[in-house]
Amino acid sequence: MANKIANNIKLGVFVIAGLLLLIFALYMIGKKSNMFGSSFTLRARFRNVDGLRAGNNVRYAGIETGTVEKVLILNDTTIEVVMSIDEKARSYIRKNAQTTIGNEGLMGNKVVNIYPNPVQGELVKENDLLQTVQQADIGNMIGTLTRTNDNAAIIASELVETVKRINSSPVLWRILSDTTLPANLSATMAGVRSSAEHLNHSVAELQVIVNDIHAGKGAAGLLLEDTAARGTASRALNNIHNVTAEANGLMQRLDSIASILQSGVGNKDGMLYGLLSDTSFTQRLSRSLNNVENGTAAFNEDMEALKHNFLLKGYFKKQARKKAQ
Amino acid sequence: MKPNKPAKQLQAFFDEAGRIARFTAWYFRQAIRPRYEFRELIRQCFIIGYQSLGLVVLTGFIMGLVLTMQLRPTLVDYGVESQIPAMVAIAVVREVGPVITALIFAGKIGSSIGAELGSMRVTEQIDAMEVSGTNPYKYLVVTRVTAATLMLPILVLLSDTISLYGAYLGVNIKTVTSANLFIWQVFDVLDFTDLMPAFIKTFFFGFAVGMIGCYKGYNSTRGTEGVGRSANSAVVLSSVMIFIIDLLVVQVTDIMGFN
Repeated sequence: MANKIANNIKLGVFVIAGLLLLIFALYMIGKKSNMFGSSFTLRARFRNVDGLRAGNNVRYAGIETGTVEKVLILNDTTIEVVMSIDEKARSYIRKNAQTTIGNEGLMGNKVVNIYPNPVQGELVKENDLLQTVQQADIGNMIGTLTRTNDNAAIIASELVETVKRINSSPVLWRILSDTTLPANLSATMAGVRSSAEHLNHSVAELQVIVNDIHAGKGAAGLLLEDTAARGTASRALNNIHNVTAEANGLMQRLDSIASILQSGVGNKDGMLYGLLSDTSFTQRLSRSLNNVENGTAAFNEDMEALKHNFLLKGYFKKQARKKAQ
Repeated sequence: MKPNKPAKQLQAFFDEAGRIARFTAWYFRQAIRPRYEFRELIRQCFIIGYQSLGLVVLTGFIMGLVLTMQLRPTLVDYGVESQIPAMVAIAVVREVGPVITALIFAGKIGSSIGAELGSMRVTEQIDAMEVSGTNPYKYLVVTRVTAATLMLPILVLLSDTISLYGAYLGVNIKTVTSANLFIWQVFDVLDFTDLMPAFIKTFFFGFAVGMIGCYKGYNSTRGTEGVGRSANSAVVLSSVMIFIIDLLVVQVTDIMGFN
């Protein structure tokens, strides 16, 4: 009988141990799903939930605070995720918190991450809709990577082609195998260096000139920079302009005189024609002029004689004194 | 015309299936009808459940430890050594724990029931019970099948726990993981959809092992040789049935979206 009781006790312990383990496991799993604590509901809307499903975890700032309750299709571009959040987190989650869908580790389940917004907002209420941020899609990233790979392949093939062309180029290989080339190149470089030095020197000198011009030194500087000289030059130019205008008038008058002369020369009865073309007239004129000269000389002699005449001598002395004063 | 051998075998198979189905239907009819053999049921629970605990615990512990040690090199190669508790937990709770424990259970209890009832049949003790007015089916079969059905889930829960303890020791052979972190990692990946289908299918495993053991023993023939044959065939058929039920449960849970 005692043995039977002992067996019954052993069986009871065995069964109760099993049931306790079952209850513990159910409690631990249920606790994870917020089954044994009070919770409230929050919502978030995404364009793509990347395989998120009911039961996935919800984390607030990396701490597990709830689970996904439902994933609903609202329309062709909007998926609503209904989350059951632990009541304890209500006093921390604000309406402007941002929600994303991520992964638990590299290969883990999907998870909804709620990130606090640095800007303080109002605390959430039951059934509030949180802001969402669409994460970089791995598919898009792979697509970009594929394009990059394609481009890399094209570049590689073109590089191969270039290398082939280089290898098959006799000119290039002749250049590469030319032993005198380095010395020539070195000499050329020395020449280039020397030219560059000269050029630098010239540039420096040019700079000095430019500086001088800026400073108003030299004729160019005076012209370009000295405002007084610029005024003088301007006036000179004006004068030149005026002189040119006057010269033009003079030339016109000369032209008219020349035309008069021309007409005079053309007239055989005129004086000019006789003066320039009639030799007898010229001879007569020459004789007349000789006569005038002779007459003038005789007149001068007469005048000299008058100076020595006692009647006029006083007058001439008076005139000489006036001149001397 | 004399039927050829495959046709004979097929006929025998369907005959056996029909007999088992009738035997099973008889169990339900007898189980719900009074008078209930509670004392015998408790005794059978002790024998079938408690006395199998040592074997189940030992195999469960080794199973968890070995699984962890076998998984480690591959997971280390992938750099996910920290996922060992999660992977072992999923493997043990969903599949390995229930199936291995059920197979051990079939080996021990299936053969035991088959041999016990077979020997009672060949020694005409069952016939004597019928003559004395005791319902042998209710007393021998219903109690054993019910005990097997109820005890295997508890054995599986204990086996799973011991397996996870073995896994915990296995994890701590090469690295140091606190018990707290290990438990958190285990329950972090487990869900009701992992635990409940696995737990429910163990009732079917237990029922199948008890029913096949009882059927083979109850219908044992040809003397002591028949007893050995009954015990052997009970174990073989129970083991096959465990895998068939497992397959069906996986399909059903998959259809219901629990996977």
